[in-house]
Amino acid sequence: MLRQVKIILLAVLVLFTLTLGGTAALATGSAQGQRVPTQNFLTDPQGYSVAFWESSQIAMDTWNKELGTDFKRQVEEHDQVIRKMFEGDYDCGILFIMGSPVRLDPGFLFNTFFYGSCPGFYNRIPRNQCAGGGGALNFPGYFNPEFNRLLKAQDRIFDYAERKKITDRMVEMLVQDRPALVLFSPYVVHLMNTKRWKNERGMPGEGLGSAWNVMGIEPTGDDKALRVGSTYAVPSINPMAVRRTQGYRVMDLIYDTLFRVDLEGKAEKWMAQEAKVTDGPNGPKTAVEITLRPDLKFHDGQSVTADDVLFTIDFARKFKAPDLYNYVKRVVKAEKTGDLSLTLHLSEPWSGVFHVLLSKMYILPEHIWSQVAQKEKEPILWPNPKPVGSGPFKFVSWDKGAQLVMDKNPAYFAPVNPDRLIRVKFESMETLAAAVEKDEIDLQWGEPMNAAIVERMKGKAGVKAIKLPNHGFAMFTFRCVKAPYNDPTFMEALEYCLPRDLIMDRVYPGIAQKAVSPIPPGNKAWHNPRVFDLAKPYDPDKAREILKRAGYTWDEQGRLCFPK
Amino acid sequence: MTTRFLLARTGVMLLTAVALLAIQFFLFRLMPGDPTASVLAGGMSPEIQDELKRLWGLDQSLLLQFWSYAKNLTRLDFGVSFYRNVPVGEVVLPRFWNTIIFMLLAMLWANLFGVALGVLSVIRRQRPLEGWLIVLGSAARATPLFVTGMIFLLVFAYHLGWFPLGGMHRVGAVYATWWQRYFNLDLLHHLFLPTLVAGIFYFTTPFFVMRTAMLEHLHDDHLLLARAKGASPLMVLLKHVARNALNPVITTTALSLGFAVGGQVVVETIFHWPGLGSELVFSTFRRDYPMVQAIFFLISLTVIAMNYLADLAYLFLDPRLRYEAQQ
Amino acid sequence: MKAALAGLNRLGRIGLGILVLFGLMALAGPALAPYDPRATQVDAQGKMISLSPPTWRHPLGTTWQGRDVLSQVLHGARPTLVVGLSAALILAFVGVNVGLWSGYFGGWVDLVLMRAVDILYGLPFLPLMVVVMSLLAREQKYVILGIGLVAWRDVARVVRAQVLSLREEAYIKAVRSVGAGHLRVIYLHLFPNLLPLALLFLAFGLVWSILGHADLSFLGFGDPAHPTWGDMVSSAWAAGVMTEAYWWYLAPSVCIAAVSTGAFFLACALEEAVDPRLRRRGPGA
Repeated sequence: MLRQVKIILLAVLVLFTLTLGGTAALATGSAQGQRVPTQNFLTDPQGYSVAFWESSQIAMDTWNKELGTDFKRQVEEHDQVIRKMFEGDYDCGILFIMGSPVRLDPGFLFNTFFYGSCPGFYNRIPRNQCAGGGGALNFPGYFNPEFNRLLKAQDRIFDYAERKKITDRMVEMLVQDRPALVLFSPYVVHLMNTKRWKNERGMPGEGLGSAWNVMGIEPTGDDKALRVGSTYAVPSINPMAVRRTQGYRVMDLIYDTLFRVDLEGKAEKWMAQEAKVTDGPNGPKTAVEITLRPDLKFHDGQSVTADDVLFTIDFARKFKAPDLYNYVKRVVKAEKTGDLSLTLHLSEPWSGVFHVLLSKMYILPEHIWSQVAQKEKEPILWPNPKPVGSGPFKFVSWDKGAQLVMDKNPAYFAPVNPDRLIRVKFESMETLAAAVEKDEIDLQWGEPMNAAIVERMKGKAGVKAIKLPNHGFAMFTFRCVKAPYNDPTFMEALEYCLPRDLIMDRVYPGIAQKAVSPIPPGNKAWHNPRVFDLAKPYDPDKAREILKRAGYTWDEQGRLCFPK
Repeated sequence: MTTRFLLARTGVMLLTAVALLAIQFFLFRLMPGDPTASVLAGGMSPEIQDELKRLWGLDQSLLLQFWSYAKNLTRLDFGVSFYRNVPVGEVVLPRFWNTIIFMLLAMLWANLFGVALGVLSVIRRQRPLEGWLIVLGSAARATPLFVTGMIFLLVFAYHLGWFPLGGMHRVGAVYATWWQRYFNLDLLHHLFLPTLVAGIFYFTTPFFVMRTAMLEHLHDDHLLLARAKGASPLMVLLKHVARNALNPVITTTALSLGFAVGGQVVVETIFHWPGLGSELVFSTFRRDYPMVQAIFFLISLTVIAMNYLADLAYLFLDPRLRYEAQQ
Repeated sequence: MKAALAGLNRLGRIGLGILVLFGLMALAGPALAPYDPRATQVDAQGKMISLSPPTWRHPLGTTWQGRDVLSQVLHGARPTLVVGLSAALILAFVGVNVGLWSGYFGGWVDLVLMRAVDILYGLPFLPLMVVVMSLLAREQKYVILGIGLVAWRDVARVVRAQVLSLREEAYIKAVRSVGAGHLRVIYLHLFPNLLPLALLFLAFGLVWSILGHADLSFLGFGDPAHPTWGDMVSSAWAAGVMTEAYWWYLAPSVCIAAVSTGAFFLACALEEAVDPRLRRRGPGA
């Protein structure tokens, strides 16, 4: 019994010490009266991108210190970040818009991210009741009728100079309205091991991950297996169900498209030998006449014909292929005009038809997919275990979530250098970088490399960091239908207090380009340099002055309060 | 009578499995977050979202969903993964084997170290070495796996280059059959480091169990007899004491094997081993219900089965318990 | 005090010493920290001191974003111990109560509670925690609740076994025959006998929760408002500088290992002191 008493005594002592040491500082911060309430700043976890994590940290710290706001980090997994933003269930957050080829088209970009079809869009009004929907990823809930009018107008114009003029105006509107604050445009930095491969072909936005590089990179010796690594998993190899940039990257190699976006960012004829826009029954410039190359073959030896193209369009429309449906809808009728030629009839003129639809639509072999359409209950869910396409590589094997292997298609009409392509999935940048360093991996695909790793790789023999301009960008997005962001003054103050240069200097030292609009300098064709004059420079005094003038005050604790 | 005990135990096991199945089904559906969120990044319209919900059966009531889930499960059909768009079994089963082979080797290490060091600590009892071994045994269990994992990866794979940096096979290896895939030197080379890390973490249990059991038997009567017959003390210790002490080690190993199957998330992350744990985390992030459910169910089944086996082993290895069961 | 210490073996005393040391660190650490753990340190030219190896100015070096590692380590003790201790308290509390009720009442109560334990055993700990954290949010209180409400299963089993044998003791039988109420018997007569066992599981619970919390933090589920040692290692791993910046993650790793080893020592010593015959199937299974 005595021994037990001793032990209890002892435990109480330990408990006492530990609990005293452990009194957690519980934040109270409840919104009192006029205070601008605590704002949740939505971010991905650190492991997703340490650069975005730190960028938002610097911005939050600066705002809280200089303006007396209370921004607090809220961490969610990437998919959940997107969901919360989509549902309008957030205050503000950081988002990276990857530079995929289709996003080079300003019409596509604005339609997706800034098109709001009615006032209060995303604000309690369910999306489907808002006539015409809205941009699927219009996270801020931006609504500007003038912007929408210009957007519709530029979509129908084929002349570059005229379209550019309208686009410039729209970019300026976005910079002045501030539905989002664009931070910077990180260069695409990819690591490459130079032991087995040379003369890589980097593509703006895509880096080393583009099909051009995979096809055109040159071997230094006899080992013609190209090993690429990525921290992202391949989600699906069904070309109709593919939804992620990572999936497109693989589909681009197994399947082929009528157009491909070239290294300069322009949609060029690929499977299509001829293509022109003519006047059709639906009005001027609504018919697209296409002739296919004669030497196209699927991997099983069958020829690619106009029937396959028509079938693909039908299939995507009938079964609502997730990414394609919205665009394929615009083709009201498609007709065959010969074995290798066809005409698409659009409901109205559409300048993005080549770039947005035809370079994204993988041509399916009708002889395989017509059976899928008949036999499968849900053809969109068909796993496509042995994909047969007409692209530069043939499918070999796939260990889901680990490794995907493809072989060169010897019958392809364009030169393909690697004999074999192996894509390996890594769990972290750290091990991926080490694998490149240790000759296990030749190329990095996809996500840009961390700045700290790039720094560490400097001077390592056999490892090269490739730096390419990007039309992708990082931005802070705000629910601009909600206080305090619905006040243009507040947003202006936030921008005056956004240390863009400091963030770039610390988080992306030397590997990011300054950007203030959703069309960064990396998108050469559509960038508008005048936006740099419109964006506000870092000036906290000015920010506070603006707020004061608008009637904002600060309480004893220095917290920002709404105007009376 | 033993049969009745067995039947009862089997019944309980099956009931637990069914309960787990239901709990897991509803637990995951409680998760906030819409699985269609994963398609948004491409820029979907609400129309497509509704279509996907219909395809995935998410437009039905929860009970109906559960019913069809349970029904399909009887045909070993786990459904189709939302994210990967392939039958769940195709992803999960290979990973299940990867995990099993990983755990078997890790447990082999754990028991080798545990038993050997346990015996050593008893041979060297009351000497400094015993104390150090106990410290080692405790520290091994109290050091997080990611610490040992990272240090081993950095030292043996990165700096010394003795082992690959992770993964399961050489980059680009393609195997035609299951047999070739799991029985080759390349796999062993890749397995060595991560299983060693896990083995170090798990060796504490067999170590202490072995030690305790041996210390308990140290003064048994039949040992005196053996000593009287002229056997050396060391031989007596190894032959009689250690052999008897192995029984509890075997039963606890079955138990920890069950637990360890689900617990390798961290090691799998560090060594990018394609096992169940990392896939589970990945699928949780993407709200891939069919995948998460299947993985959880497989892990749970393994745990329950191992518990069951441990109970049986207990029953047959320990005569006293066998007697109790008959009562 | 002296008498209490005598109840433990040497290892236990060492473990206790380690825990007290870290307890003090949790108390005084933030005051001792030379810098703000979140502030980026800049040199005389205003340039960020990124990834500096240990120097006089920064004895444990700096992180990628120029934060002082020593200050972060000193600040990390508090959240680690808060979570570890609170979770341990919850799991010991729940486990002991379930064990008591299950063992005392037997029959249906026992059947239901023990099946609940079986089911919890069937749910793998770390994956389950990942799901729980996704269900709720990355906040300290949820880590505590999650660990506390999952890991009590081991406690319940052992306590139940103990209650089963205690129940048959003449003294308890006597109390029951005089007509004492159930609750009275459970909490006034049975529970005091189980207190040492509860303490033992408190110590084991500390090990489990510290390790569980560290693993969660490493996987990126830490509370960003209360960074711990696990979060530090996670940051270093995310930044991708493990091969060079050893100073960033070595100190926090050692701290986690040390504090949980301390708790483990204490637990083993308590186990021996509480009841030398109580040989469990192995510590911390």
